[in-house]
Amino acid sequence: MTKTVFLRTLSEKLVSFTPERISPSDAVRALNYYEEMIDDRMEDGMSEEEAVAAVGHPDDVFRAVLASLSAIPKTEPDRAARAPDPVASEPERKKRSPWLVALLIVSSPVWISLLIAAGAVLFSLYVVLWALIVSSWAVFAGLAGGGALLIVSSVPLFAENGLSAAMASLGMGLAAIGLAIFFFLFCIAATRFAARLTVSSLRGVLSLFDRKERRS
Amino acid sequence: MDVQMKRGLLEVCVLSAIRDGDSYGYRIIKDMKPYVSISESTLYPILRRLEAAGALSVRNETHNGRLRKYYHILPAGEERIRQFREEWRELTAVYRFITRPPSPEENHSVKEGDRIP
Repeated sequence: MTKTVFLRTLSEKLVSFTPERISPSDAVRALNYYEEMIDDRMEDGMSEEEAVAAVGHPDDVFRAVLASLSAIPKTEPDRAARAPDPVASEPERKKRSPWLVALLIVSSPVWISLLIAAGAVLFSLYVVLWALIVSSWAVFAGLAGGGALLIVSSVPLFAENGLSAAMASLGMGLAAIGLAIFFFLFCIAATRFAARLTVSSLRGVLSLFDRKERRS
Repeated sequence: MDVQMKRGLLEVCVLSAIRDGDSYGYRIIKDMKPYVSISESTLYPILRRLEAAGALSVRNETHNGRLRKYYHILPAGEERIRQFREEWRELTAVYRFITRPPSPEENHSVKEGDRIP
């Protein structure tokens, strides 16, 4: 194999891995290194074929270059350990943010509308909850009012239609009052639950903003 | 030999190859050859690691109309060699202990009943 063929084969392999696994500068470095090695061997008296053969097969050389790249970060933690400076690690975290911001802006027509929809759904569920509570209070009011009216109206009914009508009215009134008491307990519990939910969700939303302020 | 240990040893070998003067890749391999045989593909990651660790610096120099990389040892590299010699002193002490001739009384001090089953 000639030097040119060797270097071309190696560069094709390296290029196929740039820039995800091998940076262009790393690829150029490796190529320069092996070219220099072949040249030095030839200068030392070897033929071109011999020099290329001594350096190794392009596949093996390529694997060694890959291994050297994975080997370098192993010494990097040394440096990181020596300087556990939070300021030093800060820019690394921020490096990604311009892309993230760009992505957020580009995708905003999608996520903003989705966010609004999700918020609307949550809000409507919340409204439904309170509507249910209000309606159960209305049921309670109806039962209590109706029951009281039935009981009170049993007196004129007794005078006008006799005992049986008065007794029926009184009985229905008492039953309605009983149901009203039951509904009253249910309404109290439901209202308390909804109020607690409101307070905790408000607190959650507020703490979200609070956290953001503290970070910035 | 343990891979980690060999890697560390070769790094110190490369550093000591450039200790007395700047050198280039092929000459480092040739200088080391009588003591330890190393291939181009072994040397490459070692040089990269040492450079990343600040143990050596690299500069380009023209030679016969082409560029050649010369490696120059830095104080951190010299410190590395010094550290190695220190560690080696400790290691040889351990080695002497491990390979010491068996002493007769020590052999008989372990009774049959004391032995770990």
